[in-house]
Amino acid sequence: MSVIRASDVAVRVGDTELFAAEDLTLRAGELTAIVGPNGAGKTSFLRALLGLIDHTGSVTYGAQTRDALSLRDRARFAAYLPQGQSHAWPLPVRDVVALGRFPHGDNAKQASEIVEQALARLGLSELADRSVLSLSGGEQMRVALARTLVVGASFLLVDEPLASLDPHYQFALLDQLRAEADAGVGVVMVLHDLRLAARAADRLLVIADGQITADGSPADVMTQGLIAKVFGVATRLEEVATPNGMASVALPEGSGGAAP
Amino acid sequence: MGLNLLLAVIVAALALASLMVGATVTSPPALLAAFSGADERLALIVTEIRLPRTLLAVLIGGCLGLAGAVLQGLVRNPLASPSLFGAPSAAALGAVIVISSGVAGALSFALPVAGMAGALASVGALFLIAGRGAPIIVLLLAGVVLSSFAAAGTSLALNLAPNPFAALEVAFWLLGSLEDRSFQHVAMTAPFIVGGGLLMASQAKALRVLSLGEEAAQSLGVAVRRVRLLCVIGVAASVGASVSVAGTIGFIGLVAPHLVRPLVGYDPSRTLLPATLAGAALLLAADLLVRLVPTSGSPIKVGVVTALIGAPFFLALVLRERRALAGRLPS
Repeated sequence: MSVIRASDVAVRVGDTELFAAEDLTLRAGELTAIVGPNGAGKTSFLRALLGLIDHTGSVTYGAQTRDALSLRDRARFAAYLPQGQSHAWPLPVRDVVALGRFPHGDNAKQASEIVEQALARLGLSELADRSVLSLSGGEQMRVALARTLVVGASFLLVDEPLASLDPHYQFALLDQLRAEADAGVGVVMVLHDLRLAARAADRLLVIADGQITADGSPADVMTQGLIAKVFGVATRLEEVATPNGMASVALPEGSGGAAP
Repeated sequence: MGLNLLLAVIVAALALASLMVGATVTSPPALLAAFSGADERLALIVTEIRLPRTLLAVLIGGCLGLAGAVLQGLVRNPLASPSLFGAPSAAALGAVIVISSGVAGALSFALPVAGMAGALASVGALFLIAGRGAPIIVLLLAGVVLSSFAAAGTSLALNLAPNPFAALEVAFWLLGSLEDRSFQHVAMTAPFIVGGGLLMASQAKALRVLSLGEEAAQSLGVAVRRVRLLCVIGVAASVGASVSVAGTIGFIGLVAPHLVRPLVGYDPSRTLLPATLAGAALLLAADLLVRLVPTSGSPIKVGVVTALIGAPFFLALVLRERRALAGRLPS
């Protein structure tokens, strides 16, 4: 089974440690949600896994050290959807999605079937010829996800994909990522909405102050004590349908408690 | 492809016109006669005076258009161009230091090398100052600083020049001109212009992926730092060499990509070739214009014409982009 493994990974800027983790293994076929307060180091963690920022320690992709792989091999193993996708030019949606085939070096013709499938899956076929800059935030996010999906990577690392979406597309996108995980892809997603995290994730990582402070199923991790402490909120228990059945999880109810 | 063909035809037509126009205007039949050996005096004028001038216009205009398209793709912003990055002023400084210090003559290879070194220093410094993902406003301001600094350095070199006539000559050369250039000039710059151009063109695919942003591009397997370095070297080599024979010719790098971008669907990689051809056409046209406009004194310099047309164009562009400039642009 495909895994991403991080050993003694730490990200520092000057004297400040943004993130550190001793040993962590992410598995294909799982949807791992990463939650935590703003500035806790969630994005730094994703970037370190991808080798987009300098870090100490080592990251392995499958059986190999990531740094021993070519950039394109890395890209084919782990696809990344950064936060706040922005497009520089008014390119047609279809062309933007096709950029996801870059690591494969295949030509437009070879890529087109894969691209059309991804467009159809995300309901973008009718927008395919439109300029990406003319789309709404939610549509642009779907384009970005389509671009990430056509890579066909073993892992998808997505940073706050739900932030700019209305509830309908939040659920739609979440279901899409859930389906990817069920199809054997390792999905690692940063998000802020704890209810959505509980609903979709097999595994929940809580990151606070640059450390992984909890790691387990949503039902195990989302206790009132932990959520209140990490996020500085008042909580209440609620029954939520998680991927492993109904579970009682703590959800934020008010801004009670000290800010994290 | 149709667009590139059309632009190539325009470049060829303007090049032909450039061979026909000098102190006198040569008709096409006379030009044909000159080339077939019937009129040796005219043949000499055309091949020794007009042909190098035409070739330089094509090479320099083309590389400026290409450099503009590459820089705009690299920083993901339509306002980027070699001039705004201080490249021509810094290249001029390099060349002026070499000329005014008497280290090398105006026909030596030291000149394009000094020009390239200046351009490399300025574009390289710009990317170092601005850092990764800096907003365009930081790049533009840093470019202003570098240009001013280079201009001050050039003034100082002129100021200290041992020979006032040499200083005057350099000052005129700085205005940007293709007049009285020889095959020697073509030979000493063409390798750098073509080499730099090929280096830039080789990054076309990466520039397309970069339209997603640096992080996304890198996660797709683009070696962003390497791409940036190769583009900077390509821009410096071609712009530096251009400036060392023709002085500073501004705004072609800004205007040419803009004219063609909507016609190729805004894809940075597909902008490169048409921007090159459009740049060549623009400089050929401007250089024809300065030959056709009658003046009582010395002829108008082509660098003056491109600046007179380019500056208002840039202003229009700034006004169109002002909303984007007000906020932080995509990094």
